[in-house]
Amino acid sequence: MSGYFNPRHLKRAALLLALTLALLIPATAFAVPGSGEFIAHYTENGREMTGLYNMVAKICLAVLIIVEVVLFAAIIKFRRRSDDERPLQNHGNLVLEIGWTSAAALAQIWIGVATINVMFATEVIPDDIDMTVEAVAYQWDWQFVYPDHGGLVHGDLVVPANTNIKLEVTSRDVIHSIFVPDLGIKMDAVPGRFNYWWFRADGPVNQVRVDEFATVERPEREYVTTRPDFMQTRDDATNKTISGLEQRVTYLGRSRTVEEVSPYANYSAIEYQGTCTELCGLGHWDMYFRAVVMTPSSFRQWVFDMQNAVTEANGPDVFAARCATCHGESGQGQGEQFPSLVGAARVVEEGQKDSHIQLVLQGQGVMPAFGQILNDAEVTAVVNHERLSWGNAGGEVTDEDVARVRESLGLPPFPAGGVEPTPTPDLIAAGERIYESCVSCHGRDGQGPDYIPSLVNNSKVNGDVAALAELLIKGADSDQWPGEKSPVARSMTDFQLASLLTYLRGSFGNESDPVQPGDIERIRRDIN
Amino acid sequence: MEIKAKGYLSPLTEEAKTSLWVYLKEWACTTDAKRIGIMYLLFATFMAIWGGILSVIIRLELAQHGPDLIMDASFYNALPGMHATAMIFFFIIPAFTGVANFVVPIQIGAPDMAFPKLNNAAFWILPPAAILTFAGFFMNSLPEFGWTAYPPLSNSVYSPIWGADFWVIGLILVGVSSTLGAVNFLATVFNMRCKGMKLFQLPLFTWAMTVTSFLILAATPVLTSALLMLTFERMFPGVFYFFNPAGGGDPILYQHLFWFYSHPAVYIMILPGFGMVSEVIQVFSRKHIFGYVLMVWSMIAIAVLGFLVWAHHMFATGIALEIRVGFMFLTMLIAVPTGIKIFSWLATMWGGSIKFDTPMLFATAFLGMFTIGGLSGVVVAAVPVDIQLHDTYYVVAHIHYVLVAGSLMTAFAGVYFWFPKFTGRFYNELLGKVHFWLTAIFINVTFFIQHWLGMKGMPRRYYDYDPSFELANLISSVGSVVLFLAQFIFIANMIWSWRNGKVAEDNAWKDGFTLEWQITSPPDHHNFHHEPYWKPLIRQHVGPDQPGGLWHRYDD
Repeated sequence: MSGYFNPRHLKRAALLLALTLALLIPATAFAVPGSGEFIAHYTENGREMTGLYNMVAKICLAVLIIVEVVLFAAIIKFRRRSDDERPLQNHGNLVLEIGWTSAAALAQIWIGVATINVMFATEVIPDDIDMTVEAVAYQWDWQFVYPDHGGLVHGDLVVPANTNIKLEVTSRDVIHSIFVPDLGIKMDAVPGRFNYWWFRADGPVNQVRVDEFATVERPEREYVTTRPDFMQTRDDATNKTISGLEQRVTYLGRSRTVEEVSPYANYSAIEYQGTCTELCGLGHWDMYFRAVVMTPSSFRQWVFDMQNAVTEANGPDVFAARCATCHGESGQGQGEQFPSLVGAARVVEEGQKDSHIQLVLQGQGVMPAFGQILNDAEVTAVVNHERLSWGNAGGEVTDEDVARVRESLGLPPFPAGGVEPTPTPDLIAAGERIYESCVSCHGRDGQGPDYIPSLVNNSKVNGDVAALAELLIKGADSDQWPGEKSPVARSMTDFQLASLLTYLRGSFGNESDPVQPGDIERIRRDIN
Repeated sequence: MEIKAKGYLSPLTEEAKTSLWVYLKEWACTTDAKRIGIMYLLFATFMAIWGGILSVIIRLELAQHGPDLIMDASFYNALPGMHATAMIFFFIIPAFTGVANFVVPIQIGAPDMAFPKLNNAAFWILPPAAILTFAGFFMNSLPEFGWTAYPPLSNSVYSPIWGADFWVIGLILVGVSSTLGAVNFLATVFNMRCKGMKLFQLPLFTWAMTVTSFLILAATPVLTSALLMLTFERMFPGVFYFFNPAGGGDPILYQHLFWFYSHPAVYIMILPGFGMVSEVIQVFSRKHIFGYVLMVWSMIAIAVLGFLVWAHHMFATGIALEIRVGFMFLTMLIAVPTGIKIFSWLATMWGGSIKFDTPMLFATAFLGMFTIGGLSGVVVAAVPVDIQLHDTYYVVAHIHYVLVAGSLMTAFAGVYFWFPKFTGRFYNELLGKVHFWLTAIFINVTFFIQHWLGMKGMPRRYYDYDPSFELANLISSVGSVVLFLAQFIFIANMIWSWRNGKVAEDNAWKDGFTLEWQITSPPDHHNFHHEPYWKPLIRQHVGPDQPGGLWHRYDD
């Protein structure tokens, strides 16, 4: 080719390159690494992270511009103008090399130190946690358990605003990851272990006005930004003044249609989109949930409503959300792994009702166990839907059937509306019977002989429930009998231990809170 | 049919001169590193097209909101993993190995690799490995757990499919192949350098391959053991519980093992590219590399640090804060040697006489665009930021800026650069430039916008997404289709020029100073006609009227 050393071609190439770079630099300023906006604006921690991101991004942007400008200048200035040019050789410059090495190292240390500050501020879980929510992932949805509210179970993450909330994240099957970008929540859900995250969400902006219980006015929100974000697609919630639901989630994947009226429309609340970010199989992309932040009074109302709601489940909806991903929208199944439900023996035979319910509750093979996911009303509805649709004609089942099968399988009860807390008098009565076996040492009034610690006003008895339960489950070395542990509660059921603790904490002049069996279940899982 | 070819391409026996079949057999059984290198490159090209097709299918599915464009979720979920496997294990690593097979022995003045038969065996493990890895496509049982294959999702309960077992075994075989290759390179570089050539006088591409080989040798066995443990868990459910919490295993253990290989793998995929760019920039700027010693040490530093940062892929798994602080600092430290390299390349160009032929265009654009990938790496090194961006499209953008704007662009620079040496002919410069501009522009179109998607919270490996992300996804998809099609210009150019290109001289670029530019193009069967010797570099400034001092001498 003759064009090799044609200076016109070179000039044109250099100009084109220059043009691209000229376009590229503003583009980089717009996007990488100062790209747009972090959207974690609605928690304290989220704003800390956004601030950190902006700082790091600015440093990186500066470095990028320096590199591109030098490169650009070299391209323009030092392109070959004649074929016999012989440039001056140099093989390095010690000062320059030491200079940029230490400059790079210094910049990194600067970023590192700033990052550590933010890490400790945002990730160390503070002592004053007001509320705990357990986030349980499974293929392919989420379940949020409220141990502080009678073990309420819900499909969305609903929390009060301006409250320190601890998330305990775990999974029932494969690894998932909880992600609420607006609130800056992200944590892997790993089976067999709990991961912790905490946050304090802002909540609806009008909450000071509508919430008579909020006494402290919230400081004005600090809005951290690199530049006006004209590609913003989500509405910013700052200018809303209406009471009621402030911001709605408009997309929740395929298995959850967004209702005309949000289920949270009656509360003073704000909704964010939450999802899963760790590849977890077929429905990974379809694990959306709502993260709803309410004013504290709305939250109390919501808990009350949940616990007292007459829950009616809609069979086709439950089926579409839970079953259709594998079994097909009309029960036709998918390959060998996901069998068809149309005309299947278990689904149509009268005598297999219990077996049908059992399969839904316990799962089988890749099918997850829905026992802890669907309440009795929902199980009844979906089982009936399967038995009476697509030409199937099995008999109907009732809530009582489901509750009975549950009990026969040894599963904890899960009626609609969450588990009712066990009444304290019942616990005390049961605890008193169990305490009979402690009387020989601790005495009927909690005062044993001198060498036995008194249970009256005992700091361990009245203190942290988890520590107390652990002490009884694992036992402890005592000065009295070194090496002699007595794990008295190791073989007790959750109910027995809860009633014993309730009795201890409410007798002999002690006046501490009762303990629910659900609490013990969680504590056991924590310490194992 | 009569085979007419020069140099190492010429048939060795009389029979092969007249029969294409015998000639091809001669290639298949060859022990000549140059022929093996070319075979590696051909294989890598096929796998790149295959991986490219998979990526285009992914992007077509994501071009529009709505889950029903071309496939079901199950097939889609398999695609990202298959694309990554094809590109990482069967394209980038073999492509670099191919160029290195050709160039490294010549650069050190050796007639061939140290173990020629082993070299041939290492190559021929790859095609069957590829067939096993992608067997799921023929059996309708694709592994749907991504290239990371995290258990429990990848164990026999949640992925009860044969395709997954074949995939795992295929990867183990690739590991064997690259380990054999690495042993061979190390033996060659340490034992077969020509007279007088010391380690700190090696050309930078050879240095890069040496460091890379150490990385492969140290890291690959860990991946192999992780995959074997996974296989045992899959084959004998209820017996082995390495990663399954149901029997006391820990799913996080797998992630530690996996990333202990897969982080250094990132450097396995970029260091050879660094080496190639170093060679290209020196020749086309008519200047020796700026700060040679620091360039070598920064490569070694990257390799050593590369082994100490694996947990930065796991910041969101709940590992302790103190551990994350340590890994974060080590991760940020890697930016220092990488920065040294970028600045040294700039300083090499500075004051040079730069000619922008296609290899140099790719090298220059690599400098400008790889920096973006490097800096977004610094952003995701900061733990709280990383946790928010983890498993979003920001990370997808970051790895593609490193692997496409990094590895792929450098591989193009290297192939264009050595094409005259491979074939004895020049490629078509006009087609090369068209290919360059389309590639450089559409890499940015495809991947730039993905940073934004990640910032706004679009998770990766999603079959469908929030409709508010639609426009950005469409832009990215259009970019990827054009990017993919543009690569056929390259392939057409290579095929056409192999027969019809302008004949290249020995020193095709006139300013080449390493040994490969001082033997014939294409080289003869054993590279050198007599033993070459190396003449020490004169560390002095050479005046404008003198030719740049040659490092390595070989007089025919």
